[in-house]
Amino acid sequence: MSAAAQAVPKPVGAEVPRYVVEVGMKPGNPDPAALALQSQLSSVGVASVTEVRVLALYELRGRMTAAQATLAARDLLADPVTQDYRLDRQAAAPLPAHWRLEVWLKSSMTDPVGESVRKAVKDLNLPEPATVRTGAAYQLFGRLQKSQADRVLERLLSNPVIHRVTAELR
Amino acid sequence: MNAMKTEAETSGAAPAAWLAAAPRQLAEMNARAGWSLDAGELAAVQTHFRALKREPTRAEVETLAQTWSEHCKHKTFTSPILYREGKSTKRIKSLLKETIVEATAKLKKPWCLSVFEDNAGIVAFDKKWALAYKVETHNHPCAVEPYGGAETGVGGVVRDVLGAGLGAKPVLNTDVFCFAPPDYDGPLPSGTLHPKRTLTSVVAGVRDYGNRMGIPTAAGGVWFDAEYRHNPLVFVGTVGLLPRSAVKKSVKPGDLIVAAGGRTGRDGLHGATFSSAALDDSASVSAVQIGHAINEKKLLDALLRARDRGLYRGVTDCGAGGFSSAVGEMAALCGARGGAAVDLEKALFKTTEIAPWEAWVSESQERMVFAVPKEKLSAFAEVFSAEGVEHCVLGEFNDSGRLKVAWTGTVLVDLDLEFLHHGVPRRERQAVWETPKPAAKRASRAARRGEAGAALRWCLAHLNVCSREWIIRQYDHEVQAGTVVKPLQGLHHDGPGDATVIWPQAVVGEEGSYRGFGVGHGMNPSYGKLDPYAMAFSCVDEALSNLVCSGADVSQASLLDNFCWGDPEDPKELGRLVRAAIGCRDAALAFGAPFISGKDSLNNTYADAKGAKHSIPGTLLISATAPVPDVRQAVTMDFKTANNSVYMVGVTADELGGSLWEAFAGETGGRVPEVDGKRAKAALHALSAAIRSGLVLSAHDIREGGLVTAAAEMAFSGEVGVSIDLERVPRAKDAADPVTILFSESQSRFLLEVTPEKEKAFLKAMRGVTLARVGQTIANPILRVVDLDSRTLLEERLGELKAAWQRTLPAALGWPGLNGHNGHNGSSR
Amino acid sequence: MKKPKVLILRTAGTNCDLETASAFKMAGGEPDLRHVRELVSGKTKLFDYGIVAIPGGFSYGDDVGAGRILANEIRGQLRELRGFIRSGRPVIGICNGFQVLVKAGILPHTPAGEQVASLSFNDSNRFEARWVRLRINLQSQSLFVKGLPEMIELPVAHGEGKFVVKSPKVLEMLKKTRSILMQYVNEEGKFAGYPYNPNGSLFNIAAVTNPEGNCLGLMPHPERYVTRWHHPNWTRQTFCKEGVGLELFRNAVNHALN
Repeated sequence: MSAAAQAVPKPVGAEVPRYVVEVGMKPGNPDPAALALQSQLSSVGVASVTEVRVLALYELRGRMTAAQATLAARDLLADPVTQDYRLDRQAAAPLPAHWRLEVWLKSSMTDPVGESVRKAVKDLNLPEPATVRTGAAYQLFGRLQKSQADRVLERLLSNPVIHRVTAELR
Repeated sequence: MNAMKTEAETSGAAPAAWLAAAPRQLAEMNARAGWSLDAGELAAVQTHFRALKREPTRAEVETLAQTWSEHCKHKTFTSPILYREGKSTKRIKSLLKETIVEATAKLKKPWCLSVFEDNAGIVAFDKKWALAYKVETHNHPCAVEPYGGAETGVGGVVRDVLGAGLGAKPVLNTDVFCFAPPDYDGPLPSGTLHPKRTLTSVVAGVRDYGNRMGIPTAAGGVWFDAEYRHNPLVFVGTVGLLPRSAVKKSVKPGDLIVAAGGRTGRDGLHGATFSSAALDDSASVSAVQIGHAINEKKLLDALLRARDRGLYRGVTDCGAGGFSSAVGEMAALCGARGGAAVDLEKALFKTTEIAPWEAWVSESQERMVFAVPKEKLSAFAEVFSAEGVEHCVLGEFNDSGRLKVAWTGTVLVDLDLEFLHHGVPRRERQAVWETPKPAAKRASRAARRGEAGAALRWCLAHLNVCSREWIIRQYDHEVQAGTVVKPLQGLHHDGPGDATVIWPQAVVGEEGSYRGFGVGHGMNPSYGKLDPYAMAFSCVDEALSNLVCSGADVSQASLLDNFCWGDPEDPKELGRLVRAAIGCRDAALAFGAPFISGKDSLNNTYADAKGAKHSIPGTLLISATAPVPDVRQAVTMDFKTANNSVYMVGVTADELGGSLWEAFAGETGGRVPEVDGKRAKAALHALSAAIRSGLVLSAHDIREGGLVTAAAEMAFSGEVGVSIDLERVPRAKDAADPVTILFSESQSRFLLEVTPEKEKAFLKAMRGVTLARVGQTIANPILRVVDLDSRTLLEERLGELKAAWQRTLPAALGWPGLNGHNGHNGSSR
Repeated sequence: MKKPKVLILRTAGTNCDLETASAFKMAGGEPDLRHVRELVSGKTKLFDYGIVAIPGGFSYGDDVGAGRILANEIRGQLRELRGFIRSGRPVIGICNGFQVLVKAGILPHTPAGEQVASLSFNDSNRFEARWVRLRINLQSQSLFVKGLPEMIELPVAHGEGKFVVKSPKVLEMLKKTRSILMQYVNEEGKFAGYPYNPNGSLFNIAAVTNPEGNCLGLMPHPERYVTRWHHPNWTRQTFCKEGVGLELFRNAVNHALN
């Protein structure tokens, strides 16, 4: 029976390759999510942010090469007309100082979008990743204290019940 | 599955010993495990297993805890209550049976096909089709994680309709919320999300799940009150259609237990018991579920195809309690004694890190359980695989009288079905109601007539009246191409509609049939703070009046009740609940509209740091549906053209208790509005018939903010002015001053636009009903009110009234106006 | 009279298939709902049909951008669709269907079939469910708009409907080949911003065809306006007998009959 043939996903070992794909709007393409966040910052007492950028993050873990992960990014995860993508191991263009806030679902939560992506990668005739997890990165440019960055994370971007978050000054 | 964790490994503790435990130890176990069983229930379990001379397994206790939870068993509504009202005492054996169900039983309406027995109430739609309707709440998860909670709430109620009869196709979603104001700036305890975030995230969750499932979210409402800040209320409803031949389900011995849909994981553990417990800072993490609408849409597609091919005999949804409830319920339908035998390792899992008992009660989303005759299994499998939906055979239904669950041969559960479903001890509770003393005489309102304009603008801008366009536009309310009376009405599609009318022609497919149905709601917690009986009557009046105004035939209406209340152990809280339930019964009987389904959510309380419990205001939502025999005769609330007569139906009295005027003016002690059941029924039925005969051009019922607010809404929605003469308004002796007349919230009143050509026929059709011609529509875009002494009391520009009405919600959300571009959509993903 | 067979393509998350089928039936066609998997496997043959429709919905939940997954499926495994379009038969992609045609590189039409446009997130950053006014490009020869008035109204319901292009050359090409079929306008028929343009589309573009006009992609939902009782103001006015959306479907059916 087709149902029984589906194996239960095994926990992924540390030696399995891991790629994080970042997808963001191309310069010149307005990013409504970034603009929306920017307009909400004053409500948590943050006034000194000059620009906000939002990136969709996809963590792929599976027996695939970097070239294959790049193909998945190019053909599935990023829209060629409006978005840019980058694998985490690729060198990034230097950016001015900014806070990078990352929000990921806790590992105990089901990630439905991750599930869809996993299947869609397979449909591209690429090796099916063992897991795909999705997250978001918010880059806040301008002057910001850590306490303010934390407040933005807690009040506007995440729920500690289901998310794990990081805030990093880059 | 040898890699699966054992029960001990997962729970980290040795299985507890029940037979020898003292009550205190049982209570400790209960608290640690989150079963929400009370002392009597724990003792009943202990007694049962002492007689069997063995310890219960973890899975057995979990099964009992889930099945006996308030959420699943409605114990408060079905256990004895000693009710004291003033000096009289009455022993109620079962509140549900003696109120809601009694009304339906007495009315014996022929359109009721399946009431209070299945996952949704089912009534007749036409000769070939039936209509299933379910409304339920998802309060606690939405307080903890509003986006995920709202999504899974919608998913759950949709599944209830998918599991009604042999499965109904959802054609409408409804959403009603009770939140604290989004611009609330008072104190909030840590861990409580700000109401603005709750509102935007819940709306986003309802939107995303409903839109993805292709179900129009087209009816609902929001009520704002700061007292909901700890316990937001989220009511989600679904209406579905199914062939009349598919209304009954059955299960026969030998039928296979088949689970289909999503896989089973650890998410959503203890949802049923979680939902029955009060919230505090340590709200359970694993009770939060994550939904994936696409899985449910695929499941829906597969289910309907399998239904139409007759590939299963029974179906139910996996909701609270997961497999334990679904299989337990279906097992009870099998043969004379019921029974089921499950090999749980055959289920499909998301993860290996799950203990067998967890797998049994997990509330992972998007799963249904079917009773499939053996010979249909391969066809069933084919249909489901074609839609990309997984399924597995868990076991077999039988007539053994027992629910048996094994895990690779080891017995996990072996319960007597009779004990499982009927063994919960019914504890008697105390309830007390004291009619408040009549208020001291208040100052006359006559002197405040000069404030009428300001009060009108204040009422229109009030959070409980203002435009909800910001929310409504996020819902696809026209998918399935059946929404013929929409939630936003008027010249610019932005006025406040009453009931929504659906013409399900793409589903029902009858060429040339214009039959549809309407859905309306009634809610007013402010009245409930004064008298829950009056509130209940008013809710029914409002829901039915909304239906009348859209052109439905309320002589064939059906009702649903949803109670959200505080602590049932508090006799005063319980007394208010009893009173509201009695009001529901009396209203249903008075209007001749039976209840077909209902749910309750209790313990909506918050324990503060000192341990004191705070309850929400007792909140009742009445949902109503009625047929619209010909949708081409439906009407909307916006004034259409100038020089038509404006009629008012109903009597205006000094009933401003709980009204917006009281809040504006700082008054207290007003009389809460009451319904004259007999008169109201006659009026609603006559008006309903008149509208369906094409005699009325526009109709709107009068609610919060009184007749002047309703008139303003009709006028600015249609951009047609109106002039009202207070002298003409039918009124009681105590409504003698302009403020009282304008802002009274007396029930069962309507404003109607009638063309000169139809007036005579209209008056004939409405003979015997109290009504009067109170004014006319005019070309000048103003609202004018002429006082009792013929002087102009009010003259307001429609544009300004509308602007005040539209500004409030976006401003409270920090949205830079409806034409703005930026705004956080609240998604927490 | 023979009825042209209409293939209504569906997949996981397709939502508007039933009413699209109903619209084609009202228009005189014979709709057939088929899962895309049946076409990929060859069980169902595209050329057995006179018309192909890709209805609205959230194919695959829109999880990685609206329409991306189905577009990949069509681009990779349903290459006959291009031949079908080249043969001159009507093809219509509504809302999610439009997103799929764009992301599969079918619209705007390019010789290499590469994706040169996209339908991005609405400027308002919200799902927009509202009725819009559209001006039809009278210079277009597209079969879909024969006999239609210049100004029509239809409902939209989408979160990703903003038409954007890879480069200005693409817009020039669209203009030159008369491939822009409908644009969002206000009551006076003039281009205007939000909410008349509900998503911020470039040049107020709401619908695009191939140069021959037989392949149409549009964000508004014509299947939701096939009778007068679908219009939000039907209680205020009298209209022509049925909703103008039905005319689009009728034109496709009539074309297929010949």
